[in-house]
Amino acid sequence: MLIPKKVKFRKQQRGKRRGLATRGAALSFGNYGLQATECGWLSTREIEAARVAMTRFIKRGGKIWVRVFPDKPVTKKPAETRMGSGKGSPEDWVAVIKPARILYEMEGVTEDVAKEAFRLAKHKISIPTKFIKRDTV
Amino acid sequence: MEQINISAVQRTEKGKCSAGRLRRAGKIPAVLYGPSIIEKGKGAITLTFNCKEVEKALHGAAGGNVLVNLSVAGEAKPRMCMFKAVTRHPLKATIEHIDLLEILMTHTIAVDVPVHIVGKAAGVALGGIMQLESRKVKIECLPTQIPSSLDVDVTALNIGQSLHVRDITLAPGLKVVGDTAATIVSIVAPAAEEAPKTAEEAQAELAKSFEETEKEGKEGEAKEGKEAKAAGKEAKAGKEEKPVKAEKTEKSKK
Repeated sequence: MLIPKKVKFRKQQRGKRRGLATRGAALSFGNYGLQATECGWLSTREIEAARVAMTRFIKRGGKIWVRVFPDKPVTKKPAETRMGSGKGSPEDWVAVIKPARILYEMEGVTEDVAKEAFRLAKHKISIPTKFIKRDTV
Repeated sequence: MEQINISAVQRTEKGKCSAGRLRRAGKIPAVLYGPSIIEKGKGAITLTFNCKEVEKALHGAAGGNVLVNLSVAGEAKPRMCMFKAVTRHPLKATIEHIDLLEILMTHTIAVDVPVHIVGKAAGVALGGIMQLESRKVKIECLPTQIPSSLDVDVTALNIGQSLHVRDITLAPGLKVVGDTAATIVSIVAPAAEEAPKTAEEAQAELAKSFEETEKEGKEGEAKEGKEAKAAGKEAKAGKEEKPVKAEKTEKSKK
């Protein structure tokens, strides 16, 4: 699973997800990609589950690029705890996703195979996505 | 070299509000620049295109490398130009803006030509994966000589081998611009499939990462605390010294 090696601060504020993604919004490596159409948080487990689903489907045929990294710690308070007494402890790592962000890229497979692999992957992800392919212009 | 005819209208309004109005009306804002326009003392000419007309012209255009016969309303002669940049909406993929470059047919220009892979590599048949490192190659030539694509034959490539820009055979009159040692295609061995982790292993990994970050945090806090204490002591010592000096100065005055 994708986890940061070292962080400067253990806890972060939640932040806002306004506007569209301008960086990482175009295909850079492969011919096909999975693009987020809405914003959200993508946990390290979701990223890994989608990657495994795609890798199993394409077997050893193509290459996959993961374009997002979960670098934001998410805290949670334990169950049945009274409110107050500070922020909870870090429980998960997430990637902040804005609309138009490319999540995965694929190459070395046919369009049908890529479509099916991304269909399997998007069922593991909590954010609505769409399939895109490289255009000439 | 493919040639297309497009008509445009000069626009007087500038700014994002007017550009938004144009887009909503099915038009595209654009700019035209080039050596002859700069000579006349103008930076660029602002234009408006019909969205459908441009989409139709761009559809099937070889990497956008088409000669555009641009007829601007109110101008007697059509201008010869090329698409320099086509900006699309990141999510809807609709055209938002176009940059056109006016060209002179007698002068050479540098353009990005797409690479076209020919044949099936021997390494791919053995289980390797073909990796396209660069999809375009920058070439200098006359506008009439721009090829629609550069054919790259990969049939002889085995696993571990690669093809570079210098290996491409170009037609006379074409010249590569930039690094000739750049890789175009390489055949790599397939990566070994990792055994998927169980939920327990994944949970343990996450927990470990948080323990480490917590430890680092505590160490950092302890360090900061020590530094702060040391700084405090120094400050105190400084304060104690000051009144002594003051007393001394008072005594000397008396």
